[in-house]
Amino acid sequence: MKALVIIPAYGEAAVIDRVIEEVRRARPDLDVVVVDDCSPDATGMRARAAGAPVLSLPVNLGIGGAVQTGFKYAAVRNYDALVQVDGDGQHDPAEIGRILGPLADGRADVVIGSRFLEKTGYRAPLTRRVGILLFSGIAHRVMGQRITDSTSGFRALNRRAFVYLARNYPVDFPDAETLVLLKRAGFRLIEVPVNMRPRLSGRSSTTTLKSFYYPFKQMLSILVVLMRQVPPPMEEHSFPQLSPRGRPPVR
Amino acid sequence: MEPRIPVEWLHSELPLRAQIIAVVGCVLLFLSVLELVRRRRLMEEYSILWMVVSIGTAILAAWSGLLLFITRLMGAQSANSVIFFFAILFLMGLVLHLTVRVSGLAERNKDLAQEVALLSRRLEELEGPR
Repeated sequence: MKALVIIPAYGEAAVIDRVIEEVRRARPDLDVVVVDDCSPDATGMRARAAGAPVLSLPVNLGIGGAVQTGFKYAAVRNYDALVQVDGDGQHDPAEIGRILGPLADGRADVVIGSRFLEKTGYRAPLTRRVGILLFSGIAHRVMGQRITDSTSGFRALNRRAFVYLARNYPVDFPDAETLVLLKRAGFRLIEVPVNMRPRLSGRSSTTTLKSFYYPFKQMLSILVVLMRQVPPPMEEHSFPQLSPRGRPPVR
Repeated sequence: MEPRIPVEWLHSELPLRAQIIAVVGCVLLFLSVLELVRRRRLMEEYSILWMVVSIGTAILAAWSGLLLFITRLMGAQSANSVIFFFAILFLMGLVLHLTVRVSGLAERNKDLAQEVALLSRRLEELEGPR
């Protein structure tokens, strides 16, 4: 299984080389790519200096757009699987194996590393916990499956799943609705327990203002995903072009 | 029909000065739209919209009987509120249309940015580190 580790990073110049180094040490068999979401600091430069290939976005797209760039890269380069690891060092690369496991033996299409599946020392901020709780309630009804950690950025996807998301991705708030979308499109989701370390640096992409707005946005986007017709996964999992063509002209 | 509106309102013409100001305003709007299209600052699609609006408003201003007729037809109390009603309706429709446009453009912008990132990586590989 040819797998790729994508590291979306924004303003992580202080730690990005350490994160790359750790991933490489933990899994020398995996390729790494850093997506620099137009950081104002030297994140891209530091990552290149650490020897990782870097996808430099010319404008800031936010975490969703950055992650999707990684999906497209993996799609074009024919990877079989992909692991997403945050650029701030929150995720322990030693646990990549645990996340890739269910993909490798075909038990799931998407694996989410959950901080809440087992008792760990990790305590998320209150607003974040409310959002997560809200989602897991809604998700349980909508998806018929309990997801304990919808906002986790420590995920693994098989080719079928990431090619699907390279084509259709809810980029503005990519956490919860992505899962609902995937579930509705018929992908098998599974959670595995992981430990979360305090971030080495930087701030969460979820700011205080956003976390008030977040539950509303999240509910709305889930509602929208439910109202929309979910595009079916393609039988053909090749991804010959860089971007999906044939998007209707903006009119 | 029992008129709920004072009869003299319905039969009164708009003051001539107000009519002239309105018509002149419409002509200016029309001309500036033409000029913007000529300089390629405004797409034809939108210019048609603005031309229709300016011509329509000019007609209503010059022919106040028509405006009063519409007012009566709608059962409105005054011609003013009819004008405001349509003006607000038009502006809301336009803003909705523009936000739809912006959403589409944002999506394209995202796709282009992602493609640039992928292509420049590809270029970096082909050319070797600079």
